Order: sequence, then C-alpha cells, then structure tokens
Amino acid sequence: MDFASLAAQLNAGAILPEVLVTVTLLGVLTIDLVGGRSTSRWTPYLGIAGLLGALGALYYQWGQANPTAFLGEFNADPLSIVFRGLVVIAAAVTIAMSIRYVEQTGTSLGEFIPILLTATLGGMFLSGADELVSLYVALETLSIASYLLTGYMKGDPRSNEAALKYLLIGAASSAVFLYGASLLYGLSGGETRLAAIGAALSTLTPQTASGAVIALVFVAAGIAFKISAVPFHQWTPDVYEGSPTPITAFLSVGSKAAGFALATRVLVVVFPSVLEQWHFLFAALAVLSMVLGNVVALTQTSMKRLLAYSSIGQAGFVILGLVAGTAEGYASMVFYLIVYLFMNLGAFTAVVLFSLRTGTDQISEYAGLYQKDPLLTLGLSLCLLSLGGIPPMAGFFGKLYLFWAGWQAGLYGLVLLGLVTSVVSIYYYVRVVKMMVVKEPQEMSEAVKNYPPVTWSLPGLRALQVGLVVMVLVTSLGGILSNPLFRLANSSITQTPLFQAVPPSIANSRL
Amino acid sequence: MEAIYQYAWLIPVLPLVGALVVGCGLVSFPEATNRLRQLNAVLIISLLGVSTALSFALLASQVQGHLPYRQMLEWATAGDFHLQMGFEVDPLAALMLVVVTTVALLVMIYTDGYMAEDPGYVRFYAYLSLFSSSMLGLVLSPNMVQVYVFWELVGMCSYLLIGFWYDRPAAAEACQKAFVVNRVGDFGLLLGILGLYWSTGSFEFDLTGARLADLVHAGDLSGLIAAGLAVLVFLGPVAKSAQFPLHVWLPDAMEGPTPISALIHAATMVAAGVFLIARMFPLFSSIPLAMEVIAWTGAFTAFLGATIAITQNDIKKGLAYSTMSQLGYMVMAMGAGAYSAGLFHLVTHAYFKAMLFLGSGAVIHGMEAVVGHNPASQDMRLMGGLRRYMPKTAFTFLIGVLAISGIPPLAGFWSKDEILGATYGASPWLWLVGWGTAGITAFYMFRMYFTTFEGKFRGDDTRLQAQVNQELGIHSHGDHHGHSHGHPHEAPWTMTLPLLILAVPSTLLGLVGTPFANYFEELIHTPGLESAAAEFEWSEFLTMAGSSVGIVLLGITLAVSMYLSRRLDPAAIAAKVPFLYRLSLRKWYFDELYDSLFVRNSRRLARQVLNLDARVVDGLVNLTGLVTLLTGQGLKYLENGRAQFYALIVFGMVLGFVVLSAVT
Repeated sequence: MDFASLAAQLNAGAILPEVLVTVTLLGVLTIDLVGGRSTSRWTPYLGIAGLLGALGALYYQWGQANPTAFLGEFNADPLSIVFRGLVVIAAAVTIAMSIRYVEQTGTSLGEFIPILLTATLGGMFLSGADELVSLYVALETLSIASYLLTGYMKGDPRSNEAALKYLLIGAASSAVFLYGASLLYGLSGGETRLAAIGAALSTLTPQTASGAVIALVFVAAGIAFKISAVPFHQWTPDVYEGSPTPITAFLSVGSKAAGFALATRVLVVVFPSVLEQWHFLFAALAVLSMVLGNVVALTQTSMKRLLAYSSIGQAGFVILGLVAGTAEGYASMVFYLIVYLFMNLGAFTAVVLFSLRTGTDQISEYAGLYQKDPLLTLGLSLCLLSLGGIPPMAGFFGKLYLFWAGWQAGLYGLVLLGLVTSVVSIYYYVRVVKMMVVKEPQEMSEAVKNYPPVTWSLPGLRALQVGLVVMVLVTSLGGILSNPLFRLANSSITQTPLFQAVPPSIANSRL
Repeated sequence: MEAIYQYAWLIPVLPLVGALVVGCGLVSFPEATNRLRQLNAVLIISLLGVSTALSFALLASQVQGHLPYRQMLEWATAGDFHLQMGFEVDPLAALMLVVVTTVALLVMIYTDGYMAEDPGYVRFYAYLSLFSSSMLGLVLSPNMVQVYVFWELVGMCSYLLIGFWYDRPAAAEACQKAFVVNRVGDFGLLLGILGLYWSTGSFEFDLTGARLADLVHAGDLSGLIAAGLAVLVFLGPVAKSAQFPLHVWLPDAMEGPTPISALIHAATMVAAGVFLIARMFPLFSSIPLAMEVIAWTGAFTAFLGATIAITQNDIKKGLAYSTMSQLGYMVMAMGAGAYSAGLFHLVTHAYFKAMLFLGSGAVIHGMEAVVGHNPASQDMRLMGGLRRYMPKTAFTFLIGVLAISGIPPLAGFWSKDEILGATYGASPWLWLVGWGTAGITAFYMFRMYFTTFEGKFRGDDTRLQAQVNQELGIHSHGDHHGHSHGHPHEAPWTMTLPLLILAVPSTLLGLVGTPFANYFEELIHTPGLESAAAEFEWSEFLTMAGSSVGIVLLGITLAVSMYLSRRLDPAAIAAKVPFLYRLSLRKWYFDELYDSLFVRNSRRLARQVLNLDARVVDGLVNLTGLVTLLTGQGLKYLENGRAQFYALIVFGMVLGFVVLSAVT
C-alpha cells in the first residue's frame, strides 16, 4: 500500500490546515536555529502567513462530503472548522501583537512563536478530536504549550509564579478529566470513539446510570477549567495577570474557544442520555460565572485583571447558549464566540499597545488618554463598549441572539440573570471609557502626561496597528452588517451531522 | 439607458464621499483643511454637480416613460424575517432628486459668498454635503425602514446646522428644540412603522397599504386601529413638515445660517414630510378618517402660519411662518386626495421659497454692513428702500413674492390654484380656509417686500436702532465697530447668481402643470391610477382662478395702502383689535402653552424622578455596593494565591457536584 492511497484511505486531507501550521512551526524553528537572532525580524510574519494559509485551507474544507478522518479519530465537520478558524485567527492576532512586546522585554522570538503555534495546533486538534485518546493528547498539547507561554518572561517573578500555578491546577484538572474519561471507557465497554460511547451510555440501566453522571461531572470539571467557568476559575486572574499580555489574550480567546469546542462535542455526542444533569450542571456554572465574574470585575484596578474577570463573566454568557440545547442556542454560542474573538482581541491589542508605550496597565493611568492617542482610545472604547453589549456594536447583537435563543428555549431565569449581570458589566467597561475620554487635561495621569509621541515606525508596531484596526472594524461593523457572521454561525450548526438530532428551538429543559 | 439606473446609487454616495473626505480632513488636519477653504468647497460642489447631472438624466429617462427601476440587496435575515435595502427610481423619486440636487447645488454656490468670512466655512460645507447625501438617500429609499434611517439622518443634519453657530445661546436652544420636537414625531413614525409591520408583515409602501385595506375589509383588524396606525405614521410628517401642533420648532430653526434655512427649512427637508405622505399614499387613501385628519391639519396649519406671519418683524421668521403655511397647503392637498397637486406645489414652492430665503440672506448680508453682525440685521423695521442699494436682490425677491402670492402666470399660481380646485371638490370648507389664507399670504408677502425694499431707508435712524436693539436684547458695544454709518450693499456674484437662476423656475415652472396641458400630472399621478386627465372646463377654471386672484389682489391692495402709500396706519389698526394683534404677534401663545404644559411638567417629573433616584435607587445601589464589598472581602479569602488551596477547591467542587447530581 503506497503512501498516497494510505493518505486517501485515512482522509488525511482533513488535517491539511494542521499540517500547514506544523510546517510553519518547524520552518520558524529551523530558520531561527540556522539563521540566528537576526531572522526574528521576519519569522513572525512567516508565522502569520502560515496561519493565514491554514485559514484558507479551512475555508476550502467547508462542506466536505466525508468529514471523518483517521478512522474516526478526527472530525472536520463545519463545527470543527469554525472553532479551528477561531483558534487560528486568535493565534495570528496574538503573534501580531506580541512581536513588539517580546522584542521590548528582551526575550527571544525564535522560541516564542513555535510554542504559540504548538498551542494553536493543540487547540485545532481539540476542536476536531472525535475520540478520547486524540482528544486528551490535543488537550495536553494545548495545556503544556500554554504553561510554557505563561512562564515565558523568565525574568519576571509574576510570570514564573503564574506558570507554576497554572501547571499545578492544570495538572489537577487534567487528572480529574482523565479519571472521567477512564470511567467513560469502562462504562461503554472499551469504546474510545465519542459516538460509540454515547450510544453505549444510552443503553445503561438506571442503576448504572449514576456512573455516567459521575463521569459527566469529572469531564465537565476538566472542561470548566479550560473555559475558566466558576468555580473552576481561580487560576484565571493570577495567570492572566502574570502572563505576558499577548498570551493572556490568546488564553482568553483561543484556548477558551477550543474549550467550548470540546464542551459542545463531548456534551452533545456523549451525554445525551444524561441531558437533564448536564443542563443543570452547566446552568449552575453559567449562573456562578456570570455573577462572580461580573461582580468581582467591578472592584479591579488593573486592566488585565479586569479583562480576566470580564472573560469569566463572558464565558458565563456563552454557556447560556450551550445550556439552551437548541440549534439556535448552539448557533448563538458560535456567533457570540466569533464576535467575542474580535472584541476581546481588539481590547487586548489596545492594552498591549498602551503598556508598550507607558509600561503600566493600571486603569487609573488611562486617564485623559484621548488627548494623546485618539486612535488607541477609539479602538479600546469601541471594543469595551462592544464587550458591554452597547448597540450598535457587534457585541450587542451577539448578546441579543444569545438571550433570545435562551428565552426561546425557556431559560427565563438564566436570561434575566444574564441581562442583569450584563448591565453590571456595562458599568465597569464604561468606567474605563469614561476615564480615557471625559477627563480634562489637568486630570491626566502621570503616564499619559509623559506619553511618548505616537509613532508606528518601530519594528513590529505596524503589525500591531493593523491587528488593532481590523479587530475594531469588525467589532464596530460586525453588528450592523452581521448577516455573513450570522449565516456562518447558523450553517456551522445546521450542516454539522451531530446536531441533526437537536430540536431547532423547542424547549427541552426548563430551569 | 439601463446604465444610469445601475449607477443611481452614486447620487447619494458622491456627496457622502465629499462630506467624509472633508470631515476626515477636518478631524485629522484641522489647520491645513481650514486653510484650503475654497478647494474644499470646489470638491464638494463638483461632486454634487455630478449627482445633479445624473439626476437630470434619470428624470429625462422617466419622462420618456422608462419603467421604475429598483435594486435591492439583503441586509439582514433571521429565520423568515428579511430586511432589504436598496434604491428605487420612479417618477416621484427622479423628480425629487432633481429638486434636491438643484437647490442644494445653488445653495452651496451661494454659501461661498454668504459664509466667506465665517471661521466655520469648511465645516459648513461638510455638513451641507452630509445633509444632501442623507436627503438624496431618503428620496431613493424603497421601503419604510430605510426611509426611517435617512429620516433620522436628515434630522441629525438639521440639528447640526441649526446649531451651527453653537456659541450663540439662541441657536443652541433652537437646535435642541428642533431635535426634541422632531423626536416626538419620529417616535410616532417609528411606532406606526412597527405597527404596520405587526399587522401586515411588510415594510413596503404599496404592500402595507393594500394589505391593511384587505385586513380591514375582511374584518381581521378594526378600522380604528388602522386609522390609529396611519395617524401615528402621519406624526412623522407633522413634526418634519412643521404642521400643527408640532410646528413650533421651525421658526426657531431660523437661528441657523440662512443658506440652511433655504435648503433644509424651506425647500427640501421640511418637504420630506409631504414626500413621505406621497409615498404612503396607498395606505392613507384607503382610510378616510386618516385623510380627514391630514387635510384638516394641513388647512389649520396653513391658516395658523399665515396669521402669525402678518405681524413678524424678523424677515426670516416671517418667511418661516410662510413656509409653514405653504407646507400646510401641500398637506391639505394630500389629505384631500389631490396627490399630484400637492407634489406640484412642493416643487414650485421649493424653488421660489429657496429663492426668497436666499434673497433674505442677501438682505441680511447687506444690512450687516450697517447694524453689525447681530439679530438686528434681520429686523425689517430697520430696512426700507433697499431696492436702490441692491437691485438684483430686490428684483428676484419681487418675483418670489409674486409667485408665492399666486399671480398668474408665475409658478405659484398654477400649483396653488390646482390645490384649491381639488380641495373644492373634496370639501368647500377646506377650500374656504385655503382661499382665505391665499389672501393673507399675498398681504403679508407684500408687506414684507414693501417694508424691506421700498420707501425710505431706516437703518441709519439711531433712535429706532436703539429701540430695536433694546427689544431684541442686544447690547451695542460703543459704535458697532464703526459700521453704523455704512450703506447696505449688493451681494457678491456668487450670491446673486443662484438668485437669478432660481428666478427662472419660479417664473416658468408653473407652465408644465397648467390645467389645460398638465404634463406634470402625466408624470406624477396617484399610485395605482392611470393619469386621470380630468376633462378641462374653461368656465370652472375661470371661476376658481378668478376668485383666488381676486382675493390675492385684495390682499395686495391692502398691503399697498398700509405699507407703500401709507394711507392706512398699521399701528392704528393694531390698536383697534389689540387681542388679535397680540395673538398673532405672540404666535398664538403656542410657546407659552407648551412651556407650561410640557416643559414645566416634565421638569417637575424629572425632579421627582431625581428624588426617587437619590433615595430609592441610590440606596439600592449602595446596598449592592456594600454587599459586593462584603462578598469581595469574603471571596478574597478564596482567592489567596495558594495553588494547593485552589486544587482543594477543584476537588471539593467536583465532589460537591457529584453529590448534588446524585441527589437530584
């Protein structure tokens, strides 16, 4: 059997995007080894180009007749394509904002980009993994690369501390998840493919069904760790604060998107037999995340911590779409994640830019920024307003769709709580905007008073600027012209076979 | 021919591009952009010129009988809800395009002279261009949603331009008043549009009308609700076209620069209300009650405006009330079912009223040389005899006055006569109001002309000047910068040229709509009906035209004897009927009434809500804050930074959830 026919049999074309990322990764690594430090002027752009190539490959994969690859290990259905796309875009923007950041902190880009690409690879495989072993390997690839990235600023004790904490808590969660996976393996009689496990679980007798519930809780804990849902969130603020800011951005968007892909696939495929339990469990996670994330964010003084808690709250909103359990619910979740990607990355890019220019990320230091740097102020304001759900930003339409889908599914309590907490969130987002825009010249903070003249000519800043502008444009226009994104989100659900059994919008769980 | 239709979207987009380019320039490089004064103006005017040419091409094609053209694109879809955007060119749209672009173009040329000294010259052009773009977009809108979008945009531009001299308190107040009053109408319009969508499932002009009629016919919808929806929609035009009871903003809007008064508050935006009624005509005409409401609102507004205009001393305020009154005519015509007559009056009025306003601007410009740059330059008591100093302006103004009064064969005669003829068919009472108003119109317009351009110049009368200044609350600083003893002068050519050009349509345009050869009605006729060329009878025409010319001549004679030959003393007449005089001078006390009825009450309500807010809501917020702080303090212990504790929580929570899941 020759290689070509083997590849055809395994449907290896399904992982073409991942192969592209791997080639880029190896290329960047080799070039750095051979060419030395001077190559770091252009290797990041090679990384971005590779990611964009992967994005193009993903585009051509859409609507493939046979999405299953590697004998059922990997699934390239539209759902996985959307999530892999999210991870890839997050990685590309992260590279764009980190070039200058890494340069300025004096560490090397040569290793940074391969590690980031490894994390991307893990996230991509996680989005499509359809079998327990590949799923766990992908999860660990993502996690370990993330630990490394978190501790990348070796000279900074906060970065070291964050990495260690992340590693310990991550290992603990991973162990819990693995325990749940092993239970699933046993309960299903030695199956590792998710669909087979799901089928086996549905034949369990009521006596053994409690085993399925225990497996559910264990697996859910692993997932909740990845999407930093309360109460599995404690690592989030510390890690987000200690990590290099671009990595925080990647963790809060790319890693989280991969986590949601995992959650959707596992819950829908494996646990339909304990539907009520998982809806209850995730509803609890959503309530806790929305309340705690948004309330604690109110008292933060550091921009990174604020965004960390806000991302916990945002995760709560997204879980709402998951709990709705209808096709519209899932579509609204995908739609919100797409929008969240752009607005959160836009906000982080702006924060990176500010800290590059002033060296601080205290909220009070943003006072009066409008007078010194209008573009940065405009970008950050638009993204924060969008995160808060102010029309006509994209975030407003995202929340609208989520809440509407939740209401249709009968989650009245959750939707009302979501509305209340998003009002709370508006307060802390707008506080930052007000700080930047409203202050009079004499109220300017020290950092802004000493603001360097705005220039984009330093190496790497141009990429950051392009990233910022693109993110802000999508955030502000994505709401009014939301139809393409909306269609993408909807068709990623309706064209994915595993959602065929899901009712379009009938209430199947009342809380 | 298809090609020009495919590129019709350029008509609103080109001025938008101009506004964006200049606007971005102003934001990014204010000094450089402001220094390139006339270059900006040339850019914006030439872009609009291209739009004008395209509009004329479209109108020519429509006149030759090209079918209406519509191009749509999907804007938003959610389930079975489709929202489309696009543009539609039909005879009405093509006609409005030509009216808007020509008036806007001439006003822009005029602006160069009028605003030459103003520091905001470039900003003014950017706003003008933005307004033109919004107004053209409104005209091309194929459905109600898009109309609403552009409706709000023209409202916003109007707000920006009324408050253009934002450092003058009166202007700042006027723009807020315009905005708030329009909000009332726009809210009604929005409710109406949503209500129509709720009942008929469509945002299309013709579909909603037809479906609503079917629903009422089938008994699925009460006729009263249908009428209510129609009246809600009508609230939009009521505010935008300054109809009673939402007319109070228009006279105050004259605080804006005069080119704006000509373009927005006389020719185009205020006519948008009439345009919208025309667009929704299928809806209104199927509901007789709504038609009654529209007709009588228009008639009363026409009368109200005319009676107030009699006593105004401010030349622009006088013209503003006259605009209101003429808009009343158009609305009345619409309500009486005279679709084509109302739109014909809209077109002729756009040209002659724009000319009158621009003429008044030239007068003010001239008077500023005498009394300085303040509201006194608009006061007719200080004018008089200006014909000697500014002959071209006086000549064009006289044409405008003759046109608006309805002297044959000028434009206003034909359109006004058509309205009066049509309303007589609908209701003799309506006709009586319109007929009487025509007489008052002739009187106050000639009063305006005589006091401004004839007689002796009174601007150098220092005693009179002091009295006017005191009345207007102007504190003269010493010697008015040495202007006091100057003479009024004729305006520069950039200002007189648009006046002379506008005089042509004001004189001749009426001839396309004469009752014996009505080309206008062939182009623009009631939707759904073929051009119903009513058989023309000389006897009927002569009676109608004779009676209206008769009352007009009566008005003119009265004006001549009071203000030109001075055989009758206006002050003595005013003293004989003090109540009526004061009623007119104080504008029927509408401002006072609204102040005590709405403004004070809403202030009181606001204060009560503030109290409620301070006591109850703040209390709740403080309570939340306290709770949050306490929880925050509590949660701090959970967030102590120790990894082993975090791991403990993870395991504890897993166990907790297992137990909880097992229990439920």
